[in-house]
This record gives sequence, C-alpha cells and structure tokens, in this order.
Amino acid sequence: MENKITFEFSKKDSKRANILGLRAAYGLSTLNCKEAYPDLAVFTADTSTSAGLDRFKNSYPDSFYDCGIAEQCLISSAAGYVASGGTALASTFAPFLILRAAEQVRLSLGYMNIPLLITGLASGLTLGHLGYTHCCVEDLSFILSIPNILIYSPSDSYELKCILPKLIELKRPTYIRLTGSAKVKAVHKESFTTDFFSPIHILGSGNKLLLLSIGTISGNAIQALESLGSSYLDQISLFVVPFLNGEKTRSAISKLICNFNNILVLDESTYGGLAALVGREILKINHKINYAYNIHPEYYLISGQHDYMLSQCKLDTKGIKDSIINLLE
Amino acid sequence: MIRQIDWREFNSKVELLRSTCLRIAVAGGDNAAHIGGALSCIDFIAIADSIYNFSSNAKSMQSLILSKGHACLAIYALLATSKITTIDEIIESFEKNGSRFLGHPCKHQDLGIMYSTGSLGNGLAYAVGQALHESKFKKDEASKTPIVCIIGDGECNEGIVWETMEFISKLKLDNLIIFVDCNGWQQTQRCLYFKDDYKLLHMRFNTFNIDSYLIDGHDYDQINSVLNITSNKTKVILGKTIKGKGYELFENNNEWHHGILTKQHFDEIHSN
Repeated sequence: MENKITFEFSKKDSKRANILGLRAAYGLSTLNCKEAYPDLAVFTADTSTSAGLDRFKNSYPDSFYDCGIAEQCLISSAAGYVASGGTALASTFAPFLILRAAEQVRLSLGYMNIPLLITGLASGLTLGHLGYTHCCVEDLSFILSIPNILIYSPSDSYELKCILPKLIELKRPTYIRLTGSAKVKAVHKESFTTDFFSPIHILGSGNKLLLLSIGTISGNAIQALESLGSSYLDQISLFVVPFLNGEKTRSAISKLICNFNNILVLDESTYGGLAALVGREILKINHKINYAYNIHPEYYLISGQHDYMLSQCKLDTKGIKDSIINLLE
Repeated sequence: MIRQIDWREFNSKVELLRSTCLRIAVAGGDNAAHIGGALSCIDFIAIADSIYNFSSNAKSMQSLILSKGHACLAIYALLATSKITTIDEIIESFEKNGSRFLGHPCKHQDLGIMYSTGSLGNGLAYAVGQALHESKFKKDEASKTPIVCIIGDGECNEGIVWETMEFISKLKLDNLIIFVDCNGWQQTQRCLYFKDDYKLLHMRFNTFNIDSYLIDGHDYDQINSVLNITSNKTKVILGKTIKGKGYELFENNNEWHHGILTKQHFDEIHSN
C-alpha cells in the first residue's frame, strides 16, 4: 500500500547519514532492512565494495549472492528468487544494470511485474572521470518507457535511509537510482512526508518559479537558492522529485505546475527523463509556462570529474543560479 | 513427489502429447507454430512428468521451466492432458486475441507457467533463482521435487546461459536439473555443437562444477536412469534429439522450425 508516510527529522541521523555518499548509505541501510525483513537477500555482480555491501556480505553470507560480472544473470536470477516468494535487492553500476541488462529489466520488472528491487550505483554523471562507459544518463529515459516500474532517486543519504525499508515493504518492481559522489549535500532539513509519487516541497514559498529537481543535484539547487538570498526565495518554490511512479506522478506534477508561470527542471539524465515528463504535462494542460531545463545535453560531453560534468550541464550551483536569474529577470 | 514410471501406459502418454502438439499447431492457423523444437523435447518432458508429477496441479507445474519458450506446444500439450486446463481452451485460443496461450509461454501462475519465456537464455537464470529460494526456504516434502529447466542447443549461443552456468558453479544447487535439448538445429542453420556430436558442448558444461551427462534424448531408459541418479550438484543432461521427432514430415526438416500446419497435413499424418 502506498500510503502517506511522514518521517520525523533527526538532525543527528541526517548528519550521520549524509557524511556518506548514497552508495555507502545504501549498503549500510541494507543491514537495517535485513533486521526488519529477515528473508531479504542481496544479489550483486562483483560490486559488493562499490555498493557498500561488504558489511552485509560478512554479516549475512547466506543471504548474499554474487553472480560475478554477469548483469543479465544478476537480474534474471534475482527475479527468479523473488518470483518464488523471496525478497531481493540486486545492485551493480547503473549503466551495466540498466543498459547491458535492459531486456532482463524489461521482462522481469516490466512484463512479468516481478517485485524485484534493482539498484543502479553511480548513475548520471557521477563517474565522469572514468568516461561515459561508467556514466548513465539514459537510465531514466529507458525505465520511464517501461510500464510498471517505480523509480526512486534519493535526494540525500538520509532520505534513502528512511525510504529503503518502505520500498521493500511496498513489494513493487522498483529501480533505485543512486547519484552523487562520496559526500552528499543535505536536502532534508526538517520532517518530510511522501506518498511515493508526489514531488516533495523543500524550500521557498514563492509562486513565480517552480524548481523541480531529481537526485543529489537537489543539494546544488538548495545552495543556489541560499546564495541568491531571501528576495529570490520569496519568488521560488523548490520541490524534489524522488519518485517517478507512472500516471500518479504525472498527475501530481500536472497539478503542481498549474500554479506557476516559470518552471526550471534539473536532471542529470538526457531529455527523455524528468524534463520530458514535465514538458509533456505542460503540453497537456496547454498552459503558457516559461519552461527551461538544465539537463544533460543530447550528445556526449568531454568527460571529467563529477563537478566538472555538472558545470557543463549547468547543474552545478553557479549554473542553477544563473538559470534562475535568467528566468526571473 | 517422485514416482516410478508405469511403462505400460507410457507409450500412449507420449503419443498423446505428440498428437496434441499437432492439434494445437493446427489451431494456430496462419500464425504458424514452432513444431520441430517442441517435438524434440516431448520424450524428456513426458518422463520428467511421469517421475515428478508436474502436471498434477499448477503449483507443481511451476517447477517445470521451459527456457526455450518457442517450444511451448510441448508445455501446452502437457497442460491439455492435465486437470489444470482443457484441450478445448487451448485449441480455441492458441495465438488468438486475449489468449493465455500465445506463441511463447506467458506468465500465468494459475496455469503453472511461472515465467514469460521466449527471449532465450533467461529461463535458465530464473530457474536458478527459483532453485536458490526453494533450497533455502522449502524444506518440506515438496522440496524433493527439483526445478527442471529445458534449454535448447541453439539457446546456448546466448551469453546469459554461460553467465548463469558460472553462477551455478558457485552455488550448491542439488535441486536443479537442466535438460539441453540437442536437436542439432536452430532457426536458420545447424547448431555449432552438432558438428562434433556434442563432445565440445559436453566438455564446456563439465567445466562448471556440475554433473553432466550426454545421452540419447529419446531413449527412455537413459533419461529415466539419469534423472534417478542421486547427486549433490546441479545436473545438466545433454539429450541428443531429433528435431520434429515422431513424424517423417518433420524429422530433421528445419522448414518446420516454425511452420503452418493445416488440417490436411494433420489428417495425412494420422492416416499413415
């Protein structure tokens, strides 16, 4: 059941979680999940360390399965495990999980609706310094084209820690998309409520500009707003979009955008991701909205460090700030 | 539940399964049906079913996984001769709009079809996950029924087959049996492994810490004996078979890999 849940904010927990990047936070969170769901198994493709899963592996060796560098087998064998009644998370680097094993994802999570949770590590431009073989700017476009799959892209490590056990409880085919580097900027600074499909309000109470952000770049959006000062904050509302949950999310976004004349979307994926989804809703309501997006362009950039890559997509703090000023002035 | 085979009834069971495959294929009409690859694995399916009683109910049927999904006629024939569904439902709906019986198996757990297969190689990995879960959590009498997965020799072209075999070599799955239907053909050509009479394929499987057997896939005694061997490893049975087995028109004639079988064909076959 996808009921509304409120997570009471804990400054201590948030600080502790956000010292870690999403990958390490994911690995640690699986330990808590195992306590709550004793039948949980974790499948991986030779990426236990990269996913922060070594503690899980050592604590629960009988519930940890490493199929080697074999992503297609990873998805299908974990799907078989879940289809026969088990609960499982399957994780490896996003490009290999989503693109190399694309058909297995489509068949198992989409076509057969098997409630397997798959976790894409270092999605987006996180590993730009390793080249585009290790980046994944196409995952949202692809997964959004498959019916049935819930997408969860955490805004910060604290949110992931709160949400992960609930995702296991939902028992839905789910893609967990982890972005960002070793340390994430805290996005949630107070209690938050989610219904697992709607955008979550983070900052600002203005109605001139709606800022929609997905993943850990939301931290850059907050920094940009804070540096612009209160005169801008009064004009802007920042929402994060951690869940992309089919028609429910589209409908929630549709209702939200009606209240604004300017919208800026921030997304590390290509045009087929959140930006395209928002654009479609604008078209549907035929609303005269001044619409802009800072996203990965439709070509492969010259690679480099994550921050450098984000700056090229205007997804760093400065780029977001400049876009806001452009839209409002 | 493991049973002794009643050989007096067995021949008629196999004949019924073969002719039921053809009746369903005729019902497919112009949509055509994969005939050759279904008939080549009927003998194995019939013996495995006689031993493990898969077709007794949908739950048991879920332990039989047809990874070479194009051979669905074989599974549909088994269902048609069970109490899980009726031959009429299958014949009326095969490859028709809204059907539960399409040209490749679609997941319908109430029919005992656990996975949608047809995209080759995936069924084997599903079977491993299922065997893994059952070996861990199902310690009752039912767990004595192994997961039986049928793959094709052409299917062994797929990388996921070998990814999965490597995974199997790490796991101690004594509840998984893989039958490789070595009928020598794939859609447009002879299988690579046919050339050396499957010695290379057998060697290849032998590298994966499993028990493997190369047998005549139409020899009832050999199939029965291998299935009854006690082993603490995954069993891989390479059964050398004949594509289109049982009918002169189809045997080793790859034009019937996927073909339109008319009522006239059917009557001619059964008048001989």
